[in-house]
Amino acid sequence: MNAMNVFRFALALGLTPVVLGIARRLRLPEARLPFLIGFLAIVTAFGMAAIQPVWGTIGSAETGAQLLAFARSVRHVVFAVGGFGLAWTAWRVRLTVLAESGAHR
Amino acid sequence: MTTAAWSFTEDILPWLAFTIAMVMVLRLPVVPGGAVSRGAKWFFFASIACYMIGTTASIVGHGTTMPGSVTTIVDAIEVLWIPFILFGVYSMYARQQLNDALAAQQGVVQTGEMMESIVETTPAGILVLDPTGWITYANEAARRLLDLEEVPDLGSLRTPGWKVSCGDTAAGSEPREDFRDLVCTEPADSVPVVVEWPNGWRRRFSANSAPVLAADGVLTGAIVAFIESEPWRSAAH
Repeated sequence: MNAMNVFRFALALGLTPVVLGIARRLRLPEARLPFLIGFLAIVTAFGMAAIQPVWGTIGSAETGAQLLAFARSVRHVVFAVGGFGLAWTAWRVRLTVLAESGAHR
Repeated sequence: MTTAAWSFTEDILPWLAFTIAMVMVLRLPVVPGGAVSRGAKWFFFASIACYMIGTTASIVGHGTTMPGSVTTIVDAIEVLWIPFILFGVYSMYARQQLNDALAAQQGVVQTGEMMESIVETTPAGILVLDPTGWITYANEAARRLLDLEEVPDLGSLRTPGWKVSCGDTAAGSEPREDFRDLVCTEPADSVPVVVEWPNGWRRRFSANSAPVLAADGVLTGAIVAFIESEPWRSAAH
């Protein structure tokens, strides 16, 4: 296992309650769901990266290689979901701020 | 050397997602009173940039074996994502608290200005007394009715030397140079007050008073509102 990936996942997992706790206190209800999706997707992808090598040890060498490739693809898709979640969050925050400031066109 | 085609799911899709996120974050408006602070915006930008570095390195070096040091650096940069996100969210929360405090302060200032306008424009005299009955504040009507003068530089009020009698037997009670009799722990309504000037002129007022109590219940003064109960007359009348 890659120690850096494991550390990254542990750090993310440890700080998740803090981040989500603060985010819940923000008066941006429209952005909560996208942020939750984006944030948790990235933390999940961290977890998948941390346990990535495990897939290669399952079954035969060929099965392990296939599982490894599949897990890597899924991890990247989950990462992408996280990225889109953050983009969606930023868009919702932008709309809210503009609406509140009366500058929305 | 690049030996394999880029994978849509592994290379393009995450890069696209984080590029869109970065553009969206850069378009976040930092407006006065808004939820987004400049700090939050740049922390979010930095958090996404951590991934852009990783995904861009993955695309650029696709099919090649990146040196271990580069991989380590990219991994280390990606570790910063979570603190940056935390700082960004906390920065927004701090901004929200600051906005609330500023709004509350503005509300207090507006209420104070409104109350001051009411006090200054009312035709009734309004006095703020200290615990010993001396005047610490008088509105415009009170200054006019009692001939009060502001002492330059000191900001205190000077009386023309009149004496005050308060209570039901106001006219016969011992006159004082202050309004001590109106400073008490209970509110009082329609108290007759007679003010006699040194030249013998008298004015009769009807006063309401309310105590000003500190948080621990100690009497710290009184608010007195009064109107003239009889027209101006001299002692001869």
